[in-house]
Amino acid sequence: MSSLTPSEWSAVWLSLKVALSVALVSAVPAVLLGWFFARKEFRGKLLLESLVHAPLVIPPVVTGYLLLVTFGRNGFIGKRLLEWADIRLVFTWQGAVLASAIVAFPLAVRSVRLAISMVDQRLEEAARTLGYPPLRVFLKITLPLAWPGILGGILLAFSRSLGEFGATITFAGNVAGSTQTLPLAIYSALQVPGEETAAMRMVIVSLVLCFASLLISELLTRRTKRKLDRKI
Amino acid sequence: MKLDVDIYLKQGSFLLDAEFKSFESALGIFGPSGCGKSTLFRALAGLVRPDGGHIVLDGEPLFDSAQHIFVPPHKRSIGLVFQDARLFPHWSVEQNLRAGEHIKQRVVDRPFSYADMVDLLDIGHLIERSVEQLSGGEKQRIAIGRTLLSNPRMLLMDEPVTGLDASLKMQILPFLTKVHQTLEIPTILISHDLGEILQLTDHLLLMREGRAVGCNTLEKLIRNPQTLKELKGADLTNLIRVRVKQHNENRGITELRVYDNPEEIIRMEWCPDYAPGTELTIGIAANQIALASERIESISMRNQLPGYVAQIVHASDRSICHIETSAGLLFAEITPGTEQDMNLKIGAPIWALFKGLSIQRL
Repeated sequence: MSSLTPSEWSAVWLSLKVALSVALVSAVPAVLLGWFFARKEFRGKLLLESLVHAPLVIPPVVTGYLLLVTFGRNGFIGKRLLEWADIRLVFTWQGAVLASAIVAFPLAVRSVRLAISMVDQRLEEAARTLGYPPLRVFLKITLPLAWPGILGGILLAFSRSLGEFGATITFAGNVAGSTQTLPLAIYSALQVPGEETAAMRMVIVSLVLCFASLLISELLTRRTKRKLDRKI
Repeated sequence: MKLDVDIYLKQGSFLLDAEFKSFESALGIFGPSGCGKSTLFRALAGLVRPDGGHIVLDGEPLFDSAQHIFVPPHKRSIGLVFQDARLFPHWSVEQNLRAGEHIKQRVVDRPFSYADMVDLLDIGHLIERSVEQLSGGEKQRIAIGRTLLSNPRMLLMDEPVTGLDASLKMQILPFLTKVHQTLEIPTILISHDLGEILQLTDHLLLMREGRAVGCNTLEKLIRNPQTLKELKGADLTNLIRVRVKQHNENRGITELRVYDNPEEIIRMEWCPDYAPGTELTIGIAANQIALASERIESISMRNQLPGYVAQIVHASDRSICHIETSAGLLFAEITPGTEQDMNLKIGAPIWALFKGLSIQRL
């Protein structure tokens, strides 16, 4: 088996670029929303949670289609983005980021919520009686204690983005060099007779990447649990 | 401290409906578990918002439902020491101690330094350790230090020694008294052990089923049959203010003059720790006092005080005979049989007897 061709390399790099962007873009919102879900009770919480988690169960191709309808050239948001800011998402790599982010976001939120709900609220109370305003409690107590779990969640979103297929191909298309991520390149290779070895090479790269990031994510989650299980 | 509390708070089927005022520098809250003591503390510290009423500390409303005032906990400057120490596991002992030092003004106004506190609590040898390596008593001392170093204007302590063994209690309780006296921070202590509270103060707030059912000195609470009932299960203790007269090593006794009546001498077991002239408060459990109709010459009880029966109060679990003696009013726990056999009547002369060994130093 020979090494990757330049076009296969570009698919690998694009995948990493998209996944990293998803991780960066979703980190802060996922932490805020995860904290919100873990610590706040409010009317309509169940509805909001269902909405955020919906992409986990909606077929990715449907997610992609809905994105096309809203962010497409004539879409409700897409039209205004184009008119006001000259931003086009459909069939661009940024579009691939958006599609992957929507699909991966619920995974990050779930992990963050779990990590934060494991932080003992009695410690937060103790901090408040020591004069810590809510933001300081969050930054000094909650966030550091939940940090490995939060990082694990963001890595999970990263891993999920590496494997995203349905929503990406529907919304961002399958343009070699600009929106063809690794899974899309594998799919394309499988469509062409005689490209099986190329497909196999990329399958191996894909498996290695996903397993590595999943492994790190799992290790981080465990570390949070260990850290918080110690009774102080 | 001028504390004016009148709040109600419904939590599930539990209703806290407490009203009391306190002008003392120290107050003990006493009551059975589940009576709402901790919830009251949470309301004072601002960790829960009552459904109605008001909390006013030194003239400043911290909570007032009518005026829609609710000062959040971080702006109240009320320190709370929890039963479980609640140290921050991701920080070192020193970081924990300094956790409350982020507000510059409070540190500037603080009448003691970090080093003073380390000295006072005797925790210098713990600073280098990680929080996990500390024992229960050490954690609690760090937690107390952490709260004091945040320089609160009022200190709330929720059963700070419950769950610790007796020797640790004897380590920590004197610290609390020392801290209160040295730093002059108004303090409220929750305990279900009256003896623990009495080491700090004899001003008590009695609570039962979410209500404040009495707020006064222990003596006045015992005098009133209504509040005596609420002290059910507590080891009632007589408190006497005394001044050390002299030590008699040969006979193994220390003589004490009653502060209010220097003629009267009380003898306790030899205790050379206190120099003659030192003032202290001693405690004698009400169930350690025996009654006699006349002075008894040949008996091992060192102390025999003449007096007369001032009142007999009956509670469901016991009767308390109030005896006006030359050392002040004493409470003796008696059984109904004793009352009949000795024909105890109000105004009848009586002698109160107790051993020197039954005297507790508070």
